[in-house]
Amino acid sequence: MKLIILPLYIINLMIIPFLFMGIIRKAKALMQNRLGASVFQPFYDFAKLLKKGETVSETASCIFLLAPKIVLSAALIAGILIPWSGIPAPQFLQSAANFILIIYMLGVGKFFSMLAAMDAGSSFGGLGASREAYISILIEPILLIGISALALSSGSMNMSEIFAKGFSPFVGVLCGAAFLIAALAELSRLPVDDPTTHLELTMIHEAMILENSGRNLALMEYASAIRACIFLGLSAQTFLRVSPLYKNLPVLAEFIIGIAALFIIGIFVAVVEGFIVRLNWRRVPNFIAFAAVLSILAALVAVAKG
Amino acid sequence: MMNLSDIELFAVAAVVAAVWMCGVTTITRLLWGLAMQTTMIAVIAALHGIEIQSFKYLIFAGVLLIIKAVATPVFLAWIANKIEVKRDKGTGLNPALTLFAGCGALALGYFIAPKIVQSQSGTAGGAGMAIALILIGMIFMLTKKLAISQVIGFLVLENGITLYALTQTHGMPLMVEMGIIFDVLVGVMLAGLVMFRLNRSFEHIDVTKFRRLRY
Amino acid sequence: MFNDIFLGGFSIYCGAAFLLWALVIVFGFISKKSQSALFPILIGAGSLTLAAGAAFGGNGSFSLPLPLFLGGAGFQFLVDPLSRIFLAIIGLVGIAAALFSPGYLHHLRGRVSIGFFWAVFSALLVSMAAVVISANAIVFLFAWEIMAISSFALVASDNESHSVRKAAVTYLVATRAGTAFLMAGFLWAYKLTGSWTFSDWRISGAAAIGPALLIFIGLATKAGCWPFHLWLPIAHPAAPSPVSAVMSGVMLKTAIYAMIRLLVMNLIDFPALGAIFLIIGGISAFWGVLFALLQHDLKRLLAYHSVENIGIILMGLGIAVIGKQINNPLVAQLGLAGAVFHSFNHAMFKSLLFFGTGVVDARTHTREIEKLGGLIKFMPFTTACFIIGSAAICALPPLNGFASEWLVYCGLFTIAKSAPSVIVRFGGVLMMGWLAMVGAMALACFVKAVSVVFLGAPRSSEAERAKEGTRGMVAGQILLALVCVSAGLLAPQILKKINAILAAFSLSAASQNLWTIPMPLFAVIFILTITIIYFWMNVISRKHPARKFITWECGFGKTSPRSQYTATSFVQPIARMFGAIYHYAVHVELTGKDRRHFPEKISAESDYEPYLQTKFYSPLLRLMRKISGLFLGRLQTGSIHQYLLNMVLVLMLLLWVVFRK
Repeated sequence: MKLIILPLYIINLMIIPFLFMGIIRKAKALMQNRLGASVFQPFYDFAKLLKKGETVSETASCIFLLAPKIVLSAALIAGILIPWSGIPAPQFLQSAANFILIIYMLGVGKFFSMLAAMDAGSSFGGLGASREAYISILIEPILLIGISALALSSGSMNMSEIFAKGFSPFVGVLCGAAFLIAALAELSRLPVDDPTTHLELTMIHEAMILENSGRNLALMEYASAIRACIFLGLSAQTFLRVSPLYKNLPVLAEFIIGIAALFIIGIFVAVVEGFIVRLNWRRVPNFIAFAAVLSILAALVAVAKG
Repeated sequence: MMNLSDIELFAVAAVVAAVWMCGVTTITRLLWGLAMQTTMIAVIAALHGIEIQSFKYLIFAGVLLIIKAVATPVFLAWIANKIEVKRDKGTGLNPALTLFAGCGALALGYFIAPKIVQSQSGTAGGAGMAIALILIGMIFMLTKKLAISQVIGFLVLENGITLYALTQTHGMPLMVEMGIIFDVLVGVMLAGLVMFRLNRSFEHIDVTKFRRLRY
Repeated sequence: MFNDIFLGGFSIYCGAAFLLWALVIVFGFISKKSQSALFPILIGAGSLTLAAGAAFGGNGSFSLPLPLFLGGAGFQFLVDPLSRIFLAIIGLVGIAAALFSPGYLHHLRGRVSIGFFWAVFSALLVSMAAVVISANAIVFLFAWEIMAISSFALVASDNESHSVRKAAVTYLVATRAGTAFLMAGFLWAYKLTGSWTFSDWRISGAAAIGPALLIFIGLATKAGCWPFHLWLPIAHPAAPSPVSAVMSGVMLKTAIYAMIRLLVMNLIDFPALGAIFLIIGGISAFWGVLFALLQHDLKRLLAYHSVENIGIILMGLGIAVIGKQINNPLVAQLGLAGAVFHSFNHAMFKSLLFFGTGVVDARTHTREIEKLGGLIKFMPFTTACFIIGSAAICALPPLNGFASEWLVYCGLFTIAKSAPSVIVRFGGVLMMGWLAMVGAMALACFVKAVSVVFLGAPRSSEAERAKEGTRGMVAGQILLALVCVSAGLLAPQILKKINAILAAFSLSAASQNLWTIPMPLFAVIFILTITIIYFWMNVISRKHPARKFITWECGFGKTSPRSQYTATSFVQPIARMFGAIYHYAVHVELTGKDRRHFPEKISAESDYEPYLQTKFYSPLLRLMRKISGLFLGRLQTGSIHQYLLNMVLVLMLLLWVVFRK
């Protein structure tokens, strides 16, 4: 069992994130009637950025250089602990997969990325950090209440156990939808933010990493690819595990179906991005409120069952 | 499952549609939500009719579907098109807070229901959801500023009362139900015509500005 | 007689600590202007003894012999596991303050008489320790009042400035009002039970509502929880930094200690208590962090964060009481462990943050965030410690703030899983989301504070001339930072010590293992991953080293530090979102010939109106002044005959009342 899982972890963390970003970009390009770059383009970008030297601002301090490492570590560890592609966490880390620990560890990454953004002393960084703080105030309760609903429905606080034991289908559907909308906000995708433009009007994540270049930029892009996989994968797994058939499959089949579901959700996100426009900044809480109501309803259903 | 019967499931779906309507500001989307909601209630009536093998419920469901779920939203959409109103931003609460209020109404209906009705299951045979619908209708009428939204809120309230009657008292006599539906239809048509005239006289149908008629 | 006094090993530690501190009091009052180094050494030694006693001494009770009598009861002291944890807090913060203060007082040397400062500081430490080990209400109130007076004297240390004087008077009035409620509650409890000793006070049911509410209001005023928190952001910034650290870190915890002893440990108990704790704690947490976001004075920001954390501690206490009411020992243990552990952690990281503010204040002579910036280059150790403190207060793993908030989350989750009523379960889940929102707001606030003060470029000339603090100041901060880190990593061990309290919480089940996360393993893996990536980057970068250049400014070239984000701009979206609560408004003024297209000067000002103060407390105070004006004005006629007549009338009234029967 262990021999099969180990290469799956490596594929999970090193290949799937880049492939996923490539697929999303390709789907979006096809929606816009372009051919777009190849799905393997993020791999080439990563390798190219690693080879380049970087330009560091004079105003920046060691926090600016330290932050990408911390952000990437937090994303990698969350990528191992959360079963976003169907594979549970490794045995010796099982008890660390408490969902509160994971959410707060991603918070460590957010803390340092916001500090690094403000560190360079430019207004872009301040813009990105301020908006990121604002969005995270709206998103964290949704994620926490949603995962708590899943945890209450399955009876445990451990992420691997939640997904292994299963939860009630209604809670699953409501939470999956809530996680999908929350993921759009968390990953700075439309309609909350446009990840492809670099204008002040439409930057949250891109504004925070504007000052990074070369190696540090490679690390930050890798971290954001892993986070995209984690959040959209969480939504995909929640939807998949509504059906009891999925749980009883062997690990390899779970993995393949999980990755397929993840890619389908990614393509869905890209298709939706082709249709909708970015919301007026003051209307963003109104949009996120739908996710909040979905997760509160999921909590109500989970609590009422017992 | 949450040991809900089919009827209760559709009642919950109707309330979820109403909660979604709370967060939406475009008039045509609101009318779609209203249509969905009324369809759910018609389905509940049909299911009830099949369950107790009574023909009059199926007739009632059909009439409800045609008049209240199809004809009324279409008519209101035509009026909205003529008056050229597209969005209703509401007065006191922004859509996010209205959404939370709607969710709170659902939770309130769920918690109050067992106290009003002695029933085994959670939503007390749909009574809780009916109370939630009535509350959401009132929230609509209190927080929206265009006259057409007031009409939509009134229709949601009407849906709630119909649902309560359906699930608790096994419906009123068929003639009474038909009478109510046609009453509502005529009322909506009159309201539509009045809104049309209002818009022609005042160039808007914003009820908050009608206070000036006092002076 | 020797044996009667010194029962139990703890009393030796306690006595030694008190003796050392008493020496400081005496010497300080004798030579008020002296700046001898003896004072911090004695205070540090006393605190060290106290902390050692808390860790190693046993439990026990002792009382001073009969000639020393306080009216209703004698001087009785009781040390049990609950008091030992709070004594450990006093001891550790005392050591750190003794290390920190000499450097800070050097900055204040013209304005404050240093010997007097040390004397009153030591009196504060003695009284806080006495509050925590007192066994009956009279000793408690005696020590409580000494604590109030000494902290008032310390807040008013720098009394040349008008705002400091006003703040000190506000603090005194608030604490007296709170103590009045507390005394009323104690008197009522005495009437119900007939004794002053705390362990005799077991009142439950409807009779307990009166004393419990009065005691709660009195203690809540001292602890600084909503809605009685208004004195906190006024008093804490006015005090010198070591005093703010001790007040915010330790003095608020003595009120929490009293709450735990009286209201939670099954002494005074009525049904709605758990809900009151939970709801007031939740509102307190939200209110504190919301107003902290709006502040641009570094100390006021930290003071409002104290309100937030006291709210979290109250939520833990609420969980404990609810757990007892629904007869679920796991919930009660999680709640109480969370509350006590969070008190300890908050004392540690809040003192650390206040010390950091003290260094900034001493070196740049300003506490205004908008004038600082880029201090990491001049004071690297302080910045590192401040970042550790901020990470701890935002509950980031693997530090100690996360450990205690995790316990509170687990308590809420267990309530949501196993309470009998659906409404309570739903409420549990909603409180978890509420706590997550409060945590995200705290994160935003500390990102603002750290990045605007320490990172970026200096925004004014004072910030450019800053230097690192003295070795003592840095040592005090490093000590507290180490405690924060180790309390986070060694959480299970600390929980074992707290379990001794839980065992006394009169619960049937044995306290099982509450802690299920392998925190050291997690921390090791986290740090290991960071190190591996760091070295990988270093290896790669040998071929292409980084080059330094100016910050990207769209090609316009090097811009001034004024173009950085200010703290006000950082919080503007969040402040606007909650704007209805405090009437947030931003006024922008453009001046110039063609204002719209080519303004010459732009000024933006944001303001908010704290409704609790303007709509509730201010009218109340005005009403009280008007009423007292009406009566006092009539009574104080200035005529001696009138005063003598008043006295005779009252005397005859009293004689009639007493001898009526």
